[in-house]
Amino acid sequence: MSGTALLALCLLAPLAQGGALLAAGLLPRAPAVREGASILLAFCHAGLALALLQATFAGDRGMLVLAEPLPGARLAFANDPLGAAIAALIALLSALGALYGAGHGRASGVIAPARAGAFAAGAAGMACAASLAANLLTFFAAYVGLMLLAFSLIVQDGAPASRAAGRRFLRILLSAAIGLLLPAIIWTYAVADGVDFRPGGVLEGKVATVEANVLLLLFVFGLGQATPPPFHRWAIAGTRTPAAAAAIVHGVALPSVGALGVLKVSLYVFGPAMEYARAAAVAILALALAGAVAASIAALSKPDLRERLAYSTLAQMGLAVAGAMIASPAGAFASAFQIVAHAVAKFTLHLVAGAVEVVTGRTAAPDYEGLGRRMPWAFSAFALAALSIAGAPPLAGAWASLWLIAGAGEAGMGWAVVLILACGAAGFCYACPLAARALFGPSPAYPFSRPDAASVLVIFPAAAGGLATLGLLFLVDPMARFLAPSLR
Amino acid sequence: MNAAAADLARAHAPALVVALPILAAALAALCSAPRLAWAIAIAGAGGVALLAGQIAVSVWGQGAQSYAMGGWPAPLGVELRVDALAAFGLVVTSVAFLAGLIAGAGPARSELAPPRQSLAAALALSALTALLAMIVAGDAFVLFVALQLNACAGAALTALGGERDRSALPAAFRQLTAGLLGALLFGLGAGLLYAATGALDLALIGAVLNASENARSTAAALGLMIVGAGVAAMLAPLHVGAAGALGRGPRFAALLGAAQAAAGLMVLARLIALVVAAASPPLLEGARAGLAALAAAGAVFAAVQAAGAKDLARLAAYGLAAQAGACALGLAAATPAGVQGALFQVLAQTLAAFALFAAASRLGRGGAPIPMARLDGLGRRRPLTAATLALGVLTLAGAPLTAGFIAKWMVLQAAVQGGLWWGAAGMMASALVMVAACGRVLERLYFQPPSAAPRAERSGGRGGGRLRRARRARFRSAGGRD
Repeated sequence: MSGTALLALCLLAPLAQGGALLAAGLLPRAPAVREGASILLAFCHAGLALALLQATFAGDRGMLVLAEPLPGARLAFANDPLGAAIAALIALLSALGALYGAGHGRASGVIAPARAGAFAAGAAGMACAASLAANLLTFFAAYVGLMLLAFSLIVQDGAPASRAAGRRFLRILLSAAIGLLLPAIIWTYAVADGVDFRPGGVLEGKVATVEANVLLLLFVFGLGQATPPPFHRWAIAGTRTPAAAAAIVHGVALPSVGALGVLKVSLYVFGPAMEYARAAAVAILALALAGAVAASIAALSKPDLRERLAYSTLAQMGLAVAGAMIASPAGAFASAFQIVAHAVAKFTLHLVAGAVEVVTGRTAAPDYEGLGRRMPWAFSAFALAALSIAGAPPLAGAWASLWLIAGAGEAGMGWAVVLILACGAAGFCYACPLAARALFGPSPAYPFSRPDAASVLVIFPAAAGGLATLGLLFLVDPMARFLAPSLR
Repeated sequence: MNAAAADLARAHAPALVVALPILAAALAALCSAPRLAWAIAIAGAGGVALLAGQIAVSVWGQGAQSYAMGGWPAPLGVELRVDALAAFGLVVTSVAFLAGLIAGAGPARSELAPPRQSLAAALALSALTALLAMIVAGDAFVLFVALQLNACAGAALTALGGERDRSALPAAFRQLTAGLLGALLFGLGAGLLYAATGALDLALIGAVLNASENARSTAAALGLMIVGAGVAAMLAPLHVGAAGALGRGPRFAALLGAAQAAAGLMVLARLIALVVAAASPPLLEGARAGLAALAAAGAVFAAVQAAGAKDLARLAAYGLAAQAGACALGLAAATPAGVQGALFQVLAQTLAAFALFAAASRLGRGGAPIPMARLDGLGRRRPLTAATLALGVLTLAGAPLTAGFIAKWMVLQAAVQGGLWWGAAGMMASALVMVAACGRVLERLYFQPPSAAPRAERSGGRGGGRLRRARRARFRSAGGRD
């Protein structure tokens, strides 16, 4: 199959999945049909995304143009290596998420499981669309679509507190997107006569120092999903998302798309023009790393696990943004690999947290003590993911940090290395003692609300995620070689 | 015979397009049967839409035409000018008006007493005459008269709502005052320009201004004319009369509001294209900066009003005013790209406003007000109306890939390229506020549970629908999820 056909199918699969879920939602008596269709289509999506990655690897570049609303600004998708890799990551995790959603939905009695599943599938689809976007216009459309689907998931139980959280979420992200990102895109369009993502950047030779600096600031702060500090609080508002959807939406889709946006802007919009935006880049780098350290320390003080994970996301995305701002091949690869490593680890942590929520009915960190004795598989995976977040070798997070340190060192930024190490140390403090106490502490004394809820559908995806954080070790080098041409 | 008549109609289309609705208005006023009066109105508007399409085709093929009314040529006589701009305006306005009449005839018949029906139909057609005359007028004097007629007809339409709700009367009075004042300012500007250039024909004025050096009176005249046209275009903050009246007048009149704003903006567009763009550089710069300041400030102002609106019709009216600001910013750039963006914005905002007013007329039967709480959970109760509303609101907010988004993109790009940074910034601020205003509507439609007692719904809905709804509710409470 050609790259373009794969691209189209890859974008259609999540739509079909969402549609099938909604259609099956009309038959509330037959959840098995709904779940079966959802899981099947999700795995189809993952297979297609992998095939697309394979095609990209073989050099088959597709281009799917849907419309050209403005001259030079098309609604188009393309499979560049970076985008195809992230899309495959999201699709694979989304397939595991569909499995988990089926098991978790049955056990937890979530309101309107079909709608929640459809929105989660749609969000994964939007995230894939954003990853595969061929230009800023398409990226923006998918980015906003993802944001709106995430909002729908936050407010879906209809409780006043959820609605308030949803409003806060949307206010932060949407105002950044419309107030900063969109003007930056239009500005780019006005000066460069095009908004395509192009290796080498579209702004090269088109902007002077002041313009480049202002544009970079607008872009990075406009991409609120990458959690640049004043626009980071949406992640905490997102903790009201249903657990199964939170793993894929808040663990994977939102932060990955945000950070990927920053990376693509630095590589394919600025390119060598990042030289002109040096001041802004260094300022953002400092802000992102300082924010990451602060978020790691804040995460320590949060007993509620979902909230702790949200702060951890802030910290990890700070590292990804920092990598993109170093503007060297090493920094760019660190950023890309950080996105992958974070997505896998955070997805796993979210899955385990969701499983604990439904089995024990508790969400606070102290209640995790000894749970590993009752759920050994889940907490083995949890420990692997926690170590990966902390950057302990040989797990995935370590390699991302290592490349980032190498990139910062290469650029002669010793202070950045110190901040990265501090962030890793704080990450160890908020994730690893928790995992250790869960595995080795005394068995919990309180009664479980649904001891039988942790079915294989719930545990298998979490275990697979945990193993993947380990398995990524073998992917670092191939991925570096695969991405190298597009990161220069 | 038929062919000869068709040729005649084609040759005199610019005059016919104005004459047809006023003749139909006279006919409708004479009809005592309400049904027949509305049928005449719709047929008249339909004929106008056909003529507008024909004009557009002939302009496409043959370029701009000038029609000397009664055979008196330009410097003295009444000139109608049909160029690409006017053809676009004619098509948009007449189609929007026709759609408004078709959608509005039903609500009007439930809203107005039978004796007023034929009057309403006649007034609507008079308003259409004024709008078309505004678009095809080639000289400042005809434009001045058309603006006056527009103010009078619009205010009379609003006043018809006074039967049901007395607050429509002061609103109509404000609309009349503001509209006439605007027309008067425009006339004053035209007079000043006549004194300075000795010409009334807009194209001729432009040619003279291009040659003459900058005079203070010319600058004042241009300012006055822009303000006068801005009143008709419902450009905030000059929209106090018209936009307020759209919220308070009868529902069917509000349905025509989209067409009114579009015609007003076309006047502004013509003024910019024929007169301002041809003026000497300092004059052009001044006019551009002035219009951009008006547009940006107005867009923010109206968006804030929309965000605070407690009634759906008012929100639509203020939203329309904010959109007019965006359109005027595109015009202020005074470049081909800017005018193009502005025209696309006219199209987008007309569609959006029409969707909103149509949904409002479906919800507020008999002209009842529609407080925002009425929208709670509408997505479940009335999916079609809610979807119409949602689409309109999304376009108003400029959601990605809607017409409103593309239009705002074009306008912003033109403003940035034209050096109007601050105008673009103001417009972004306005867009942000509009997003908040529209987001609240969407949240109520789809994420808020229905409020306790949708009373007007129960009294207004038809029996079958009520039964269906009750049955659906029973099914849902019996354990159906989703």
